Amino acid sequence: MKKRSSIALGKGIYWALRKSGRHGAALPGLVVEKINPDLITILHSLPEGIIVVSGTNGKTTTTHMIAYALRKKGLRVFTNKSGSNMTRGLLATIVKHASVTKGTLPFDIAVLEIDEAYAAKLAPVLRPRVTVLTNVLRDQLDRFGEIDHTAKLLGIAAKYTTDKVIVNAHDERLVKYVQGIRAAVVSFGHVPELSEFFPSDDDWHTAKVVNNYTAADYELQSASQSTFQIKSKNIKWDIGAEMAGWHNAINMTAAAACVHSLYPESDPEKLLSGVSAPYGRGELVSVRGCDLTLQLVKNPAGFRIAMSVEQEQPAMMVINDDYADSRDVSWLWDVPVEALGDRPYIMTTGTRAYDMAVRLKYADISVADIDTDIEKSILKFISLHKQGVVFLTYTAMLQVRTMLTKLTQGVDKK
Amino acid sequence: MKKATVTLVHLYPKELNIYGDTGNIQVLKKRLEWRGYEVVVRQVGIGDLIPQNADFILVGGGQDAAQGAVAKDLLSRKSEIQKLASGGVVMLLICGGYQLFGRHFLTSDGVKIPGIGILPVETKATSDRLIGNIVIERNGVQLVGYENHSGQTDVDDGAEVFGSVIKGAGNSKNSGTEGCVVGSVFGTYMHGPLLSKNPEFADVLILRMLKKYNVTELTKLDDTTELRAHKNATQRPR
Repeated sequence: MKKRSSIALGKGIYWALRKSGRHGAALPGLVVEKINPDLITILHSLPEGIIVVSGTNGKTTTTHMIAYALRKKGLRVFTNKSGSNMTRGLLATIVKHASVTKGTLPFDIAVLEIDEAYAAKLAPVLRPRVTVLTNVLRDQLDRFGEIDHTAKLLGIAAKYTTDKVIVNAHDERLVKYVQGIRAAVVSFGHVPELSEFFPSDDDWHTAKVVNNYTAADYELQSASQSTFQIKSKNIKWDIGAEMAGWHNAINMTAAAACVHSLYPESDPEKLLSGVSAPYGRGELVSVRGCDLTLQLVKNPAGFRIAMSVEQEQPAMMVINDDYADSRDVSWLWDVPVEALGDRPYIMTTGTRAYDMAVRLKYADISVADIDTDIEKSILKFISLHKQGVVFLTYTAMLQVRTMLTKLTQGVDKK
Repeated sequence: MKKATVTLVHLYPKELNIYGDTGNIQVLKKRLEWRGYEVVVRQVGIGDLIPQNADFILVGGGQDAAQGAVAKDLLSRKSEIQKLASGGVVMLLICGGYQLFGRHFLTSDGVKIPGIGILPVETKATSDRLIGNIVIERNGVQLVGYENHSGQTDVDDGAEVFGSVIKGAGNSKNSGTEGCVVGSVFGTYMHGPLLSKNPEFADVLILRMLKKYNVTELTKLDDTTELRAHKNATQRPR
């Protein structure tokens, strides 16, 4: 009874918000969290169980890919958006999709992106069937800061997983914390020939390269902008998908490992081909004759990896300092900007355009234009170039997306 | 005449490394190189030797987990560092580094972790986190950075502070002062990295380093971008 009433109340709030022209996702979750936090256990009613995806980078893309594949397989997939990856957001998503009359959630399986700080807290409640751990990297300084602590939290999440933990074979911290758990550990990674494209967080933080390569159950063999070659034992898959960057290639490998180890009879090539990058994660957008690759950057490790994309192209860096971006921009100095490559043109914008420009100046990288006005900068960039890569912090991505949508029709690929 | 080779030391770069403080080394290195000096950067970890010809030492802020091991190693170097400091080696100590150069750090469990006592300050852990953009004034010049600490520091009466707070907290919630200075040893809570947006202060440090090579004046650099970053940062909300 309480279940149905809290769903009804939550839905009522959604309705009221919509009526008043607002799209708030936070309020329904907030209220339900207060009156019936146990509603989250409704997820246990899904016959195929719960898949949790957590880690510093790649959560959103990997979740998106797994959900895409399982839908193609014919399952009804319950999944959350990246902005709803903590308890409250998850409850709000449940309320939105649950049936009031029956008090049920009409889906077969859940694929949930969970914030790494919440993974340990939610795992004992969710008892996921599968947990996918992407990596632990140095995140926004004023949010976590403590990388060992984060790995430990993800280790707790792994401990409460019942069937399979899919883990990045090359992330030593993660591998250490999934020892001795009851779920089977399945690893993903890349072939040794690709090591140079995947420096570990410690490699460049300590300036010494550690060359202890570990083989994985599922390995990325090669990647181009449109094909990802992944192998496991004697099987090889050529997954066709349009998205840029090595980080997306490794996310694809994690997704293939998850789908295939859970459903060994399935064909990841068939299920994952055709998936596109979510919002700002190597997403390709065409605006007024300019082809832009949008790269969300949240921390030094992600920034470094993102910089390896389309190195011959001009780049625009949009750096904001709101809470969701990290108020402290010191982290820009932990970014090995030399990895940007020899680009023909670089522009910086956002509230911290000048901080970024100074960072580049001290790495002997010349910046052609600096302007804190994002809209003006975009207009200039697309008028100057036929293509380019845009690196954006979180709120910058939201702003830029809105501006691009305004500038052109059909930006949203459906 | 050939210009001097300057040796910059980053102490505990691996252990205390998460707040971008290493950028201070990069700023000093470039500003020296742009003026024709050769620069050698040495990373010195736990147990490594500090080069005898060091002109500058940086200690940054870092993870709590690393602080214990660093404190122990630093204590074993106490007399060596004291000697270097009195010999005029310029030192910039940020956040965790600043605290460890004081007399002690009092943890929330009441445990006193001894520091090396080069700066006349004492720090205690609090449940208040002092976090946000900070602007201070030092010798009539504004410096801007970002602070993020829950340790609050008392500076001895009469000791020289690094600056007076215009925006933010500094040493402690209501002190109105930021950091502490003894000779050429500068302790501060300011990340940013500090020297990236305060080129004038970077040059103050450089001039102090070059004093032993009889340099009394620096050629001017074009700091337009740095000063814009400075101005912009001072206008950001706390």
